[in-house]
Amino acid sequence: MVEINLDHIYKKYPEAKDYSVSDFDLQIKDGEFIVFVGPSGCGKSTTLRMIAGLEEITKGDFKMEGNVMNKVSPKDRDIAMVFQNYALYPHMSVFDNMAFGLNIRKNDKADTKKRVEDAAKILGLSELLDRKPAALSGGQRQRVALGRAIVRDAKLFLLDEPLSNLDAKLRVQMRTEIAQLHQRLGRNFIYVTHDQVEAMTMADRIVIMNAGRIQQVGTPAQLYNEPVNKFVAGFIGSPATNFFDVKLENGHVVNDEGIDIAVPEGQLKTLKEKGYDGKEITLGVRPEDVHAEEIALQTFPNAKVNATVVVSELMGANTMLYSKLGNIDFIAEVNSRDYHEPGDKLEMAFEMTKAHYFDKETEETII
Amino acid sequence: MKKRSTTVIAIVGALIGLLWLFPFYMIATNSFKTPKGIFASVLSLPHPATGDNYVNSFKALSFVGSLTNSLIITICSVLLIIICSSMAAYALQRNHSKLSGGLLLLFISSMLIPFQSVMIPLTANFGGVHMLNMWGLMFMYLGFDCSLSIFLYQGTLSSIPLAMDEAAEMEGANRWQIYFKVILPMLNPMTVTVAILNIIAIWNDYLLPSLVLPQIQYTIPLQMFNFFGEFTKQWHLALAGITLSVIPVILFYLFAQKWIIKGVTDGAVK
Repeated sequence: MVEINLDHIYKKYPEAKDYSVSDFDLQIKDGEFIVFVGPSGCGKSTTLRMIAGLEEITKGDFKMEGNVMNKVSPKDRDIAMVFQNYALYPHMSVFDNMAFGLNIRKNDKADTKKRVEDAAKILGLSELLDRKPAALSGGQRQRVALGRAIVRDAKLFLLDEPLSNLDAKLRVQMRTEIAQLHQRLGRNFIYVTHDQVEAMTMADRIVIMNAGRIQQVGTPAQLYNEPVNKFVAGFIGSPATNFFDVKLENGHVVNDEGIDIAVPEGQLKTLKEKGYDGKEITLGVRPEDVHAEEIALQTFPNAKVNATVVVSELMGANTMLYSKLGNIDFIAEVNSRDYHEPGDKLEMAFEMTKAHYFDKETEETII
Repeated sequence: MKKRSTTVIAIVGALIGLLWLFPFYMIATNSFKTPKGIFASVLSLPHPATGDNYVNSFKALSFVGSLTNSLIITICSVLLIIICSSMAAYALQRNHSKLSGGLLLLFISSMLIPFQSVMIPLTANFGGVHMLNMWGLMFMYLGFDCSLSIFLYQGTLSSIPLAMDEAAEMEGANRWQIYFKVILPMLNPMTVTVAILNIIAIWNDYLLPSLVLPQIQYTIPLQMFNFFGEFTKQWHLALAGITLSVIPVILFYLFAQKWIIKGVTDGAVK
């Protein structure tokens, strides 16, 4: 049973004015696959490096099984790490790369050989053990980096953007392989990425970060359906949520760009109770909740807007309509049977029951 | 048109190559001639050829003894330079402090100080501590030649990502293990360069050993001076001696060639 606690962790670099990571508080259960996600510079890699012991923790405690690990050196933490650029030793064969940690710890040679061969079998590297890293493809190098981590049978695996150097197809394949590896090993994985698709598809729980702070922690479904603020709503989901600055008046959200949409009764009641009647708020509608097909226009007669299509992107089953509503840009994800040419002027309907409302000042979610 | 210009370049290149090889031709051919044969024609092939020069030169140079001295001084000095300068460069490159930046600048600046300006006080000081011998000489070479080596290593180290150190650290390696098992092997191409530069300089050095070494520890270049008297110059023996003395350097170069592999760090990182 390996429980990991990050108790109000802070990080400040000596030359920096502000904290790079602030009040990072997270409890990780045994065997969980946690993904830290956020834009570049949000502090996710710094947090991972503090867990690894490669960066000092300025304030707060990092605990494994209840023991404070802040002052424990990286080699004694029983943590394995996969680096973004693989960090394979070029002068060593694949076997020696994978056996490096065990050899350093003077592990029994026969046991090392068995462990490396077992790991190579899992990762499909058995035929490549004598090769040097230079003779491997990107995907194979990535597997060696993973293999080097798994032979040690560490309590915690840290993966720092391990797929960012791979092409799109290989990334999808390796994503599945890492998820399978996690299930097979049953260990704690902490995975850092800026790619929200990776986060959504692999994580048990996602920690979404911005400007050094945790924005929300939850399952992929929770983050998608119940974002706590505008940042989370905008970051999770592809394409990103459309935001409209509106005013709540007479049961409608309105603005000068042509929005005049009735707010569903339940939502209206909550908004009024929270004191937003007559006030400016931000309306968030996901692209897949913007419809252009006739049946939707009939279903949501009080939620229609007149838009102009600027760019159409045929993605296969769906088409992205990059459109304009007055001066506001927004995206509608529609069925490709409902394809529209750039320049088309058409009515679109917002599925308001799935809409989110945000406070304009604090950007916190109202509903 | 393109083919013709390539041919011209090839011919010019071959001529320059021959020009470079010409001194070797002179040394090799004349080392097999008698003194009379050398003065009769320097450029001709040896006729008749004699191997006596090599036997006589071997004896006059006390070749085994002076070769041993040259080998001990060169190998020990170069090993010291490689270990100390690569470690120093590693420490300077990985510690991004103002002090390390300043130290590197000092090392680079010291390359601009001419040896001749320090040789008298240096030998006086070393004489004061009874170090005017081959061990003192190695220490002097370490001091004189580390700067360039540190500069060269530092450049190579900056291209080795810090993630290599961190990965090894996570695997359980301490600083020494990281340096000897990960970093030093990755510096192999630069180590060969540093070794070649220093071996050639130290092997051929005359001035510093002449000031420092007692006669019993004379190296090959110092022994060669015996062939050049005030009134006579024994070119036939000197040239045979030179031929003998360059063999170890050529052997080292041939051995080291396989280590000079372009892009040895390929595959370390994406």
